[in-house]
Amino acid sequence: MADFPNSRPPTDAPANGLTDARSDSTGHDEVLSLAETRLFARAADGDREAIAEVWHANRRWIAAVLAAHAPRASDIDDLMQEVAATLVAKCRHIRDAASLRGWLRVVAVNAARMAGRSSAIERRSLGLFAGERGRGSAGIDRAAADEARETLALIERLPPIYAEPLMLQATQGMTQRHIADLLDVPETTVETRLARGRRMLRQLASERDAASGGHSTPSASARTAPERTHAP
Amino acid sequence: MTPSHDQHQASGGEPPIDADLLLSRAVAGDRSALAEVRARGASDPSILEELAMWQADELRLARLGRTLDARADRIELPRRGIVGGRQSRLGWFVAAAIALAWFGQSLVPGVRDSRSTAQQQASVAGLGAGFTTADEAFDAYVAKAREEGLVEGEVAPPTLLRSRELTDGRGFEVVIVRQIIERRVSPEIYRVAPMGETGRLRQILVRPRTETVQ
Repeated sequence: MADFPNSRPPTDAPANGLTDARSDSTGHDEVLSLAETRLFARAADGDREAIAEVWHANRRWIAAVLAAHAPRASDIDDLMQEVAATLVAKCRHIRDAASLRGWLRVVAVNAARMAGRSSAIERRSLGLFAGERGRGSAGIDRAAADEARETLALIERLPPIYAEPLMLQATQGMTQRHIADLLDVPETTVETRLARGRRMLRQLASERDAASGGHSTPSASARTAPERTHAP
Repeated sequence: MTPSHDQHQASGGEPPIDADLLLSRAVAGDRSALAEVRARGASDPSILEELAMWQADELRLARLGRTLDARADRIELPRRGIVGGRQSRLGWFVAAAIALAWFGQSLVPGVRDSRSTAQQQASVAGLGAGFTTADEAFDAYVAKAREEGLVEGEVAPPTLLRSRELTDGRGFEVVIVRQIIERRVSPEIYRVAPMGETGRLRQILVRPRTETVQ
């Protein structure tokens, strides 16, 4: 099999501007890892500043994980606050600094699952971007919010095992190795899930376009999507 | 399976990469994969069209990511860890809980001696004036009480009793119970026991054992 160094940044940067985040240098990673280990250790000791730093450094990908796992119409802001509150309340119990990121992910996944069980939250019908409606100066214009809502609606239809790595790579620029570490699965599994996730997303987008009378590519529908409920 | 896929296999070279895997690598920025897609596109133009659609999806995801990032950046750490509610709306309930706690203690007859009363006065004095919010007062109370050894901790998470959406769009009303673990020293305590034929409950004074008794 040909070698595709998929975690290296392309020189012709993708339009999403994630080139830097995708760069992967072993030396840089080691330095980063040391700094993170110290930071996580301080956070585990209850250092308020360190906890805040951990939160700031991780909250974006936590939002991506929540978006991948959260049920429809659940309010991701609420779930983020839950994760933040749990971090403050319980990070002292994490004695292994190296596992803090994995623990944060588990907290986020659990919060999303709990939201799925709570019918009260679903009844609220808040939605992720409900707060953006009619808020012109909030930094996110309405068209962008609409598009984001549509994209998120497609993501919500993906099984989480495919949605999560896809969100982490496509929205956060995480490398496959980092995703594999976070999810505690082999890199090859992450790669397969990414490919299947993208294929499923394409198929869902085609179906949506066809349903709304939009253009649907023949090739997209001609290719068969993998079984959606099966993990590789 | 694309025609180029078949040709590649028939030529006896390296096993061809699955088209989805190749497209996924290409849209993630892998230049080798991109070159392979272009090569395959010479004999199978549909894969180029497919690549364009996947890249469009990738762009949409990236834009969703920016929107999510903006949302995530607004979420700051709560001042104190709670689960199941919004910190900013807890001030009232915290204030009520403190008031009830102190009010409740004042109703218990003869439980504290002059020393514990002095401790209580010190704690109250420690709260002081000039707090802008009830949360600040609560934090000051906990900090002071910890110093004095009166508070061992808080039971987390608080118990959610009920919540409802406010009709005026201000948010949600959340009713919770927060419990604080306090340690008090009392020279005597009371136990309640049924007394007499009627079985009425009466308080029975319990004093600590003296050194002689021990």
